[in-house]
Amino acid sequence: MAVRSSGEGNTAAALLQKLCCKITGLTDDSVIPHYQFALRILGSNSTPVDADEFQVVQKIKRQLVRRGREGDADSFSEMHRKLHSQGVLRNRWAVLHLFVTLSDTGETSQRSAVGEAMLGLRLGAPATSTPFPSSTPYTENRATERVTSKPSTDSLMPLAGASSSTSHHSQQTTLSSGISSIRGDVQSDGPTPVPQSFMPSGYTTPCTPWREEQSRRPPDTTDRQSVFRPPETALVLRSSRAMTSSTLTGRAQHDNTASEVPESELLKDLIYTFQGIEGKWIKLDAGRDGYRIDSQAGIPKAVRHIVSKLSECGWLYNKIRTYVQSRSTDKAFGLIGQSFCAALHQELTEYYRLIAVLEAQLQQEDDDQGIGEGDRLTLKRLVVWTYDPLLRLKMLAALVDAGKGKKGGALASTVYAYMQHGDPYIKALIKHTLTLVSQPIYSTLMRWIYDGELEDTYHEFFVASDPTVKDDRLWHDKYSLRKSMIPSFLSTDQARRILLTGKSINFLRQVCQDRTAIRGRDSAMNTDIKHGQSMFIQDEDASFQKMIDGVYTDTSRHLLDVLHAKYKFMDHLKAMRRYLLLGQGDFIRHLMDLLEEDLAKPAGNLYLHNLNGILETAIRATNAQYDDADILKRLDVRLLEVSPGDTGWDVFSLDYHVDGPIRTVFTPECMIMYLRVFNFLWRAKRMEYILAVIWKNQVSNARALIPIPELGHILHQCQMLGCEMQHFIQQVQYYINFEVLECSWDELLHKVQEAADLDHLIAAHQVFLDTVLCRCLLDEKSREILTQLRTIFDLIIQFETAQDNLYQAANEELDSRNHFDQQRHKRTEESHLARDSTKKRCQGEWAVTEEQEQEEQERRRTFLKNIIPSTRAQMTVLAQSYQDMVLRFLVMVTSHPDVSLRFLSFRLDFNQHYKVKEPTVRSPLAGYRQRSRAI
Amino acid sequence: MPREIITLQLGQCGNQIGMEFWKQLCLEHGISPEGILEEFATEGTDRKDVFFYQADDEHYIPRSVLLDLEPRVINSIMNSPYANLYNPENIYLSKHGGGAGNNWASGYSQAERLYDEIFDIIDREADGSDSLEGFVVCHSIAGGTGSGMGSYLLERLNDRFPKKLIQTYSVFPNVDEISDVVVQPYNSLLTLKRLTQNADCVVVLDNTALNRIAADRLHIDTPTFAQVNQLVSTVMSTSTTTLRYPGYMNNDLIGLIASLIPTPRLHFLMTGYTPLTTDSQVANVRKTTVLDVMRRLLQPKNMMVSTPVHRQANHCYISILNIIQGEVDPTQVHKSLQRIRERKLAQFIPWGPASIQVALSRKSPYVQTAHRVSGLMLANHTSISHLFERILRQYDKLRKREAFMDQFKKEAIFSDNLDEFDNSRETLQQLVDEYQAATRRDYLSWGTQQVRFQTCDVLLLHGIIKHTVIRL
Repeated sequence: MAVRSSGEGNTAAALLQKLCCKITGLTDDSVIPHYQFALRILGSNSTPVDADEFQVVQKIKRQLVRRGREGDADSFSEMHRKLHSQGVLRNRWAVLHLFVTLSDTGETSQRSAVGEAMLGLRLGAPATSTPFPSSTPYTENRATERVTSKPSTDSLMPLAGASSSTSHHSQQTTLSSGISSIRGDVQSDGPTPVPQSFMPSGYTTPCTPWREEQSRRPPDTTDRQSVFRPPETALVLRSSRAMTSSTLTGRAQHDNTASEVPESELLKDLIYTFQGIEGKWIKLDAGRDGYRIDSQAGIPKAVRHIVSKLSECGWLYNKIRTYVQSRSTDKAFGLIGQSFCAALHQELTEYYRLIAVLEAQLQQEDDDQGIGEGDRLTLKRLVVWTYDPLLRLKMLAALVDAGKGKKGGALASTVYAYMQHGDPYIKALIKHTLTLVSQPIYSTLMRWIYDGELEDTYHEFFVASDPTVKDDRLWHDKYSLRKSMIPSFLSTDQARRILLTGKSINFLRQVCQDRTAIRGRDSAMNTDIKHGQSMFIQDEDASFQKMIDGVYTDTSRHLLDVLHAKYKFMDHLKAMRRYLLLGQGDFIRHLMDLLEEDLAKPAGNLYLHNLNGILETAIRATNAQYDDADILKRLDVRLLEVSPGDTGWDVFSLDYHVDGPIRTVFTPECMIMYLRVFNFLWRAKRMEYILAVIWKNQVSNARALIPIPELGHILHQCQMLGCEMQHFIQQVQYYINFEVLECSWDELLHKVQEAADLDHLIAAHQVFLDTVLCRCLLDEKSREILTQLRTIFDLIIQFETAQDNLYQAANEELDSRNHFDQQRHKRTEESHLARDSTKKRCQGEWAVTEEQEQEEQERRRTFLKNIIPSTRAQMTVLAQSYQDMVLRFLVMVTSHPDVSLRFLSFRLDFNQHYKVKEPTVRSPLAGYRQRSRAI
Repeated sequence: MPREIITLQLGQCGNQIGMEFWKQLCLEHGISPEGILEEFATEGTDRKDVFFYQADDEHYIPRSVLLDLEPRVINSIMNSPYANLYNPENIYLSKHGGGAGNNWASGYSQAERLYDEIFDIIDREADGSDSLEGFVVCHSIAGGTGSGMGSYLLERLNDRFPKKLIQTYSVFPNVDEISDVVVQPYNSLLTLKRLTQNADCVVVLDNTALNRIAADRLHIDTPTFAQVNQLVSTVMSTSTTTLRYPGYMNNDLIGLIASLIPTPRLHFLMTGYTPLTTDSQVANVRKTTVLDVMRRLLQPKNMMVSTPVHRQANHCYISILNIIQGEVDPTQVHKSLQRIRERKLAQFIPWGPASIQVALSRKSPYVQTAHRVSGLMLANHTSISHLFERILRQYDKLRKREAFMDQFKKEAIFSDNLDEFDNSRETLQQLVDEYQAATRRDYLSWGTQQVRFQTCDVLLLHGIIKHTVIRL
């Protein structure tokens, strides 16, 4: 108080300095260190403790109760209640806290390794409530600390009034009584290492167990913790919370064999637990899978709570370690699994380091009792220090749980799932782990996309390879995506591109025999493996996508270039078009001319070598000869499967040999499709040529048969039917030419140009073939229509035969007429000559006799009578059935689901000639409706 | 090389258009006027062997026979850069060189006399081909040599090569100008009989229309022969492009014409071409589509046959073939056909199915034209009978007066009587009748009436023969 009045300055700082001077009795200058220390104390004192008045009150009460002063406790609480209601004192918590601290200070200072001579002094000091001039400068700092704090509290005292003095008093008394009670505990529970040796009475006695303890166990350096001890006891007795129960506990102390476990013990135990070793108090509860504190131990519930929280670390650690241990030895776990283990291990090492530090700390504190209490390891500190490691362990344990039974890419996916964690700290941890985990993926991936090598002994990469597949199916079957192993940070498209890239390289290397290194390979392979990160931070960093795209584009481009340049893909494709799809018209025409005779034979009588010879001739004679020798070499005759009754026309086909890389596009299945299309086109072509022959015969016979005008109308009838057939076949051919071949070819060329990789190329080609096949009525749906078309073809052939017969008969008749006329002419000449020479008119020397004339007339009549009605009837029947067939064909075509076939019906009935005859042909929709009604 | 075609160039007109035709072919195939393949053309996939053959020294020689009774045109060819192109043995000039004097009968008789020499050449040429497809005859029907000699050759070719096709490019006289050949109707009539009976396909090149096109569309006031012939050679070369650039279809002459000609006599085709040169402004404005080409081809102003524009609905197309050259989208073909049908731009025969055939053909890479897309239409249209009717009318006028008959009577064929005239007139009339019949639904049973008529005819003839014999 004197200090305050005599202050030159009114600032708290100035006052404090004066106070320091007063207490220490030093001069202004020399007191500065003390002053600064005081400032620090003031500044730091309140920070680490909860500013909870209630807790402090409870603490005081507990202390009182612990020391057997239930009455004091009651009165304290009563006084506190009053103080609370009066509201005079605003900073009640601070005041109370000061009291607690003071009482603590008393204890600790007693427990500190100081001379016992000091004890008396120190005990007395608080009782007097006066500043204690520490004349004995033992560990000056500490003394100052305590001393300075006391006067400062005291200076506040007047405000607290009587209650505070009471509490002061009780606190002081508590000290002694508390200690005695502890001593009793110590005695009953031998190993308790708490150094309670400061009591003058039992000074020598507790010393021994203390030393003993020390030798047996790592030293417990807990100091301040001792204040919690009484409640700990209480909590062990399961009589929680209330003051009353603690009083009860106090009474029931003898029932409870357990006593308070010193914090240092617990800490030691915890350190063990952290390492997955059971401690003295903390045991592994196998049944409930977790660490439990010995229920018998004298540990307060709050501490128990803290301890069991802390022991979670141990449990988590155990879990992770077990996982790592079991997996590290598992070879089949694969590289990614191993690197996951390594990542876990790395984390664990960090964790070991922490434990080592903790342990060292404990050890050090044990060795060096002089360590300041601020630096000591306490449960609370432990909680703080293990806060982050616990989080990490938790996360890792979660990973371990989630990753159970998974490996390879799936494991990486699992880890990646945690990348989305909102906590940046955890995110960083996961990212780090994932970096390690994905490292093998990344390196495998790099090897794969740059070298095409698949080093995946454990089948954990998302590209799978089937070693049994031969080179010719390499592209189609050898490599596939393991869907489950695609890390979730890679999109399906990326996975596909990665697969394609590596596949392309393999294809280049093995099938195309191309060993050119991929552009940018070296630089890419030399880059830091850390780039693996770019895989899963694609949200932030597009470099991975860019890299994948780049390599994919380069490789695919290169592959396509090789196919085009070295293997002449386009040339082969065009060759297919020219030969198998009859694009080389002059060659096909000539080939058919040459083959006509052979193909009319039964299929069994065909000999490949003959046909090959003819093929050779056809090539030599037409523009095909200018084709590339390599392409011509591949051209061959192939006979399809012979079924009984087949003629050469049914089985003949051209074939085109493909090998090497292009076989990947022109697979044997594709070639079969080509052959089927060829057969169809070949038949259609044949019809075209048959009709050309029919037409030619019509024209020449029309000229030749002018002398038999009676045949005129039959010829006209034939011409009309021929013309109709001609139209039909021509339109079918135009349809094939445009709608089937040209349009799909156009599309194919377009797609081939656009194709970014071989798959696109293959797909485009397949689509082309499918379209052609479908539009040529060769698919399942169109079977009926195709049969109908064949029937029409057959009718055309019938017509050809019928017409040929007619012409033959007519020409024979013409010959005999000519013969007759010639004879008559000759005779006339002769008779003229005879007449001239004899100059005598010979009776009856007619050129032809009347009988001959009659005979001739009769023959002619018979001929006409025979041929005209029969041929006429035949032609009428043919025409009728042909028209029926065409009409039915049109109806079928208009109701076909493929739109392009409607183009055919449109072409066939361009001038709506058939529409008039058959109303159902009217519009495609009409046919459709009718059909759906039928259904 | 199979499916070769031998070209016969007859008379002044035939040789002129023939020369233009070969010029055009040489350009398109990259063959120099000396018959040597140009450097830039060695890689071509075009088919040269249809019209050319290669000599021992590999140079290309046209499968062409040049015949004339007077030396003027052939001499001009021999003085042109293309003199060395032809096989000199294939050029036949009548020794006296007096020509046919625009007299069909004279041409016919002279050809008859020269039969052996001419057919030596033709036979040799035919033997030189692996499988001859047929002959293409270029001539005019109005003059003397082309018509008379042409008529005679047509008959003989028929006898000699009954299985070979005969296609002719026949130039019909210009009716707009007064011709110096007064006997044109006679010549035309007599030739038309042979064209009807002995040719398989006649491409009608109507000088009237060609001159009109040159004047109206190309803005040439007095078109020269060369300019008109340029048009003709374009038509000729385009109509053969599918043979020369083989594709899926129309790779031979028979395939090309068989679908155009339903019955043997209805084989007179008209042609249309687009773009005619001054259309270039139109072409530059936008991309030419298939529809544009097809629509233009159906316009009468682009037709190279002058038929009076009758709105009579009964004349109709029997068949159409459009050959489109250049870069067009094949997917457009169907759409174009649909539009044409929707708008009823073309009237077709009522008695059978018919449609527009479209052939897309490659264009020669060596000829640069202003137009990326061009089209040729070959059409069989019943209105072509108007041309024949006109000739019949003109003939009847002359015949009534027995005008200019003396020159004809001098020749052997008319020395006895003028039956040949009547005969030809009848044939032509029948042709006109048949074309008219083809516009009607009952054309299918058309033959029946004709038979009756012809049977009577034959019986009548028989009687006559008998009578003569009896009289003798």
